[in-house]
Amino acid sequence: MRRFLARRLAHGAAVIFIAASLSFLLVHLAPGDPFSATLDSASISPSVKAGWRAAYGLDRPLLEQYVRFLGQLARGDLGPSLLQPGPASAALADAVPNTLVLMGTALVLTFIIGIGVGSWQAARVGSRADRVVGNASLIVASLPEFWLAAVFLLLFVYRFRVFPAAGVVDLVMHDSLSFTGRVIDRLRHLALPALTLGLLGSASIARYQRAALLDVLPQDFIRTARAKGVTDRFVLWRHALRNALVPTIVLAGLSLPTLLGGAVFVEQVFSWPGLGRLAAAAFHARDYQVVIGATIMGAVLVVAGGILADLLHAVVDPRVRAQ
Amino acid sequence: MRESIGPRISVLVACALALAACDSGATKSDDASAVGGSIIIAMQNEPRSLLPPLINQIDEKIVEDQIFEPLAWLGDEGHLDRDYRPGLADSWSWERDSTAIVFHLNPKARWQDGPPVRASDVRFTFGLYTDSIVGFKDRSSLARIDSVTARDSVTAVFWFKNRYPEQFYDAATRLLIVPEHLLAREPRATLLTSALGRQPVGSGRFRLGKWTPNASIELVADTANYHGRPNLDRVVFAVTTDQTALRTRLTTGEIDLAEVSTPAMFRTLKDQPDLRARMNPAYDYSFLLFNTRKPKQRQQPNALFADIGLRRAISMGIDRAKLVRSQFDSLAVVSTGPMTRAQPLADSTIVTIAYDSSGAARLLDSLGWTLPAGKTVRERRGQPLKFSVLVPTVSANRMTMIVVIQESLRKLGVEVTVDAVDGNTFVGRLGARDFDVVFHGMHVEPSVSGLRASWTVASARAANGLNFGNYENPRFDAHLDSALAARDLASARPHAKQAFETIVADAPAVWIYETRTATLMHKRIRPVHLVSTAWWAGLADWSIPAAERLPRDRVGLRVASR
Repeated sequence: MRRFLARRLAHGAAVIFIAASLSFLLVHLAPGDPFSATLDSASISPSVKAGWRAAYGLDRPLLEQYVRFLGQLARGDLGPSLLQPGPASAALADAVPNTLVLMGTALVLTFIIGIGVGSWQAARVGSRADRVVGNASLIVASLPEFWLAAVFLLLFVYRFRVFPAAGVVDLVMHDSLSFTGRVIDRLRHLALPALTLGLLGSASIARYQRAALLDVLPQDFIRTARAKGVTDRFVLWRHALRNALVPTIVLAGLSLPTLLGGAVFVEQVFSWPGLGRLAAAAFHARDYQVVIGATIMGAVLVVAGGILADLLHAVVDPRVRAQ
Repeated sequence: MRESIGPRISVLVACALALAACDSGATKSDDASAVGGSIIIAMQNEPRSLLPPLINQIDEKIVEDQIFEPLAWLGDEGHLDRDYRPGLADSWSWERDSTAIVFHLNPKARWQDGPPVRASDVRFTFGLYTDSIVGFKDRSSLARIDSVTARDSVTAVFWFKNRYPEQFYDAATRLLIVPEHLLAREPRATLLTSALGRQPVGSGRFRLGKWTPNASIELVADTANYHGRPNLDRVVFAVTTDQTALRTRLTTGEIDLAEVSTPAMFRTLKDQPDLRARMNPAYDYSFLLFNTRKPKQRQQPNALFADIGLRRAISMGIDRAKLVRSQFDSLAVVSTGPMTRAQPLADSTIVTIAYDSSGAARLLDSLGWTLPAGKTVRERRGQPLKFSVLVPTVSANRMTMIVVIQESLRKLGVEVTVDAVDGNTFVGRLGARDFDVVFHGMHVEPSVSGLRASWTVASARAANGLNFGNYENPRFDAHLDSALAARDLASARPHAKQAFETIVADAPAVWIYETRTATLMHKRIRPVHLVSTAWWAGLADWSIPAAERLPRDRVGLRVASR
């Protein structure tokens, strides 16, 4: 197991290195630079911009910049953000916790809703309800994140005024609330972005879960359980589901990159100050170090998701553990 | 007679303003019922830095104007030559020959970290703004100020190279005074990323409370401010980039104030019972700029657009009134030249090139651009009349409008291809003058001095000049120089009119639209000093009546953690 883990970590480090190098190369090859990013900056003379480039070392050959970047990276330093005071890592440190909270909550919702709906469908396979829910989940899985987010905004905020529209907390009231009030305030702000991401993810999980259960339900041990007089509900939830969960649980790790991709759009709509929103703004402004840092964070999530999926697979499936 | 007018008026204005200042100072914070409340303002883009010389966008300006102060504020009416209220300076006077203005700083003025504001801070600020390495984007507007000296600790003197109508405006309002004791040791080449940009210390009536990256900036009342504490406890700027979220937040009251520039949103929100709308004057205009020289080769004339007749014909072929109405409804008007109607020297009587498609066709025929039988594109000596228009994809308005323009010109036998590029590429190609035609936009100030940087011969020939279309007409330059050198606006106006008439007749661009924005704010807010150029200028004196306050208005002042 240790050797397996070490091998996966080594692979992961290589993936992260390649991702960092590629993002360095691509973002530097993209047109413009941090000082030509906004239309307004057309009124700042090129000589001033040239001065800035020299001050931040952007006038050096790309290879030299790359070597310097690798040196910084080896020390765990991404370098300074070129568009805001402080190191790029500080900007990422502000954003990452918000994204992790959003993704974590969405992941939990994804699996609770997905497994629940998939199992419910499997229990009544072929029925009209199964077909309706199956088609509905297909439609939901096909929706773009930003569209569903906008619909939720119009429905739950504009129309019914149940949740706040944006942000992580109430901008004025939060610090004045009691501890319980602050927790509730956070949960209210988290509800719609997490529900958007969670619902979209759960539609796919439901389809996987239904298929996995339909594979398990005809097997001998289920027939034996039924023959022993166990109720259908008990068979489904205690015997069939435990065995059908293996492929679904593995998906938990693999869902992380998808969730991160979705978070970019959802964070924009709900003004959620997370990694996706930061990355989009940084790319627009060509803040090289922040873009590269966000890419590295994305790569870390992909790698971590893959390792997590393998570990979960080993935990829930004794055959894998034995191998 | 001419010698004495400026100083006399200035002394009278200074006395009146000093009295007004005393009066307003007495009433500002004495009315306890006016004190309290929180306003949340939507912000499209998060500022990079809050150091005034680095200002790059309007959102930064709105926040900085609360933390820092100029020597004087432009008055509510926005008259550049006479309408000011005290800022850091409580009075001012002109030297006898009008080439120097003496500002007397309020002796009670203090920086938010304690030390008093000194004349040396003003001198330092001028040095910072005019240092080319810092990159103040309107540095050319300060070119006619020769120097700033500190006569004593509270007297700063601005020395000018020559007299001109906007001397006071340039000196008093363009510089937000910054603390020398904090910024003197900062390396200027990397000021853009100085930590002080996120921990600004000014002398304004609000100070920075909390900056939550990518989310909000909270300003809190500086209760010890020498002008008196602001009426509001706090102003929060909430970063809201998504338009649906902005509309929803305004409707539900999560946000109290937003500047709206899209007609659809304005129509939806202007009749909301809780909101009041205010139209702002336009200071942005957009135009199709012709490159009169070959792209990237300034020495050679452009094969098409060196010809003034062709430029005029294309202008005549576009129905700008219809185009602007369909795109913007009431939030824009047809542009009349390199100016907006809100500028004091703008002249709405200038005759512009009117839409006349058949006249345009006749003009093209007379220029030799004829339509061969069976073809859809005009030709002259075998050369088809076709060109590309550079458009930034970040501007949804321009992206939509260019398609309509393309169709209008197609009917005229002109083939236009759209060269849509992202913002970075757009700026790069604009600077390199690598285009035939570009759909460009500009932001202007009340002063027309910015025309020098964008439309004169010198700026066309300068390696780093901003006259991207290479437009050159010495007659325009001469009239503009005369307008800018005139002693007052009345005598500047005829010269400005002739300058505008010259450039409009030369058609270096098709002047398409000037956009207005609308400020939508919650009705419980009682705004004052809604200056035509800056609705936010008097934010510290805005109030919320006690009876109309929401729960968030009653939170009161708490110590904000940075």
